[in-house]
Amino acid sequence: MNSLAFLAAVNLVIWVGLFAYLWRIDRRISRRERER
Amino acid sequence: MKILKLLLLPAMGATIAGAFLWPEPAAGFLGESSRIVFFHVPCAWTASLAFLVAAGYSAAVLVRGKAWHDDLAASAVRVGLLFAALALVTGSLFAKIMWGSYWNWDPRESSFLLLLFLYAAYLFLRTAIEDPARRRRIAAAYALFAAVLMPFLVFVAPRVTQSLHPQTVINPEGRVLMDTPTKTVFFASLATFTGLFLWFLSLDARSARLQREGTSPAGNAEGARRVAVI
Amino acid sequence: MCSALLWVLLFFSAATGLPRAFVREEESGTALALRLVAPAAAVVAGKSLFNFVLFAAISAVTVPAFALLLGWRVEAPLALAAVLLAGGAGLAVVSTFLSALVARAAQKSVLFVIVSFPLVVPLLLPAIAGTIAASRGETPWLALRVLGAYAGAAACGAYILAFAAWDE
Repeated sequence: MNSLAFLAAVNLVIWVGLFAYLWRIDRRISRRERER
Repeated sequence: MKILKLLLLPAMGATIAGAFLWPEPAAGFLGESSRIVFFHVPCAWTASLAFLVAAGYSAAVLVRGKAWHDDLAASAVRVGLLFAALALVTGSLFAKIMWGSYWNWDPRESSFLLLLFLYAAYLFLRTAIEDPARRRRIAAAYALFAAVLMPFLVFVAPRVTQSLHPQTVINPEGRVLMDTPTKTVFFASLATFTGLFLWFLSLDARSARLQREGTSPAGNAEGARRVAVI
Repeated sequence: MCSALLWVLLFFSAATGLPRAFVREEESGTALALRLVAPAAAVVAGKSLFNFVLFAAISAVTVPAFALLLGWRVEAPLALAAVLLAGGAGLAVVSTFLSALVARAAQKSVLFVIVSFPLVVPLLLPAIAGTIAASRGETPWLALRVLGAYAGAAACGAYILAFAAWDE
């Protein structure tokens, strides 16, 4: 496998993880905002 | 709002894939090192944007005195510091490859480090002032004062002395020195990083507001004192 | 080498006096009276001017003594004086304004160092470059322009923002 493609794949996995994490935080904050 | 956030997922994915796979490495740089431009420059841009946003909300604090604007200003500084640190780290990786050392005390490196200290000092200043209303005002004044002098760090200092740093996008010739694929990926990257910054900013400021209104009774104490004064 | 040493010397001798501008008022209890009788911008302007004169006086004593003791030859004394005044103006304005901001915070002296360091160092570098040029007999126009612009921008910012340091 091309090393550049490998780097791109690693970065993509990190990005998808970060996105899921941010999405969860966003939902939690929205829920708290509705509660108060 | 939600659609924009969802759009960020494929946009950043495309930027990452494009940055590694599409443009040819630029001439005059060792190996593939020129690809750092797609991540390093957007980080630096986002940091500068964040500090400008902080200055804007600080002005709003001084004019209107709203606590929410203060939350936003402080969050913008925090997020800006994050991106500034990333710009510094990516820049120093590039420096290691191109110039053989992680840190060269290049004018641009030093002035950017000072910029980092400048806004770290802002966060220190905030923790040192107890009274919420005074903290808002003093922090806002400091952020605006810093914003007035920031151009000297970002634009003047690196140009007064000789720098190894490659020509910046905002350069004396006033042209973008890139070929078409590079330009496309670069500006896409700027846009997605800006989107990411806005999301970070909204998350951090909203959680700061929840903390201010919830766990600490600061908001209520302020109201109570105002009643007592009357 | 001598130029850098001179500025470090000047910087430290000024650093003991400049941040005291507002802190002393707080400690001696005269700050409240000052708040009542004068607008913040006027007080910051006055104290900046005082600190500028103080810095000029310190340099007027220190620089000749320094040159004599170390056998340092300055080919263009007038250019050196201009660099000293331009650098001193920026230093006075920045430190006076920041002193006003931190005067009522906790751990003032540590905070003042943290807060002022990133805004004072950008002055030091062109000042040293200008001093080197002056000692060689050149007129450092670029350094003077940068120092002057920095002092001017800082003065405008401090004058407009000074009101925030006062409690309503």
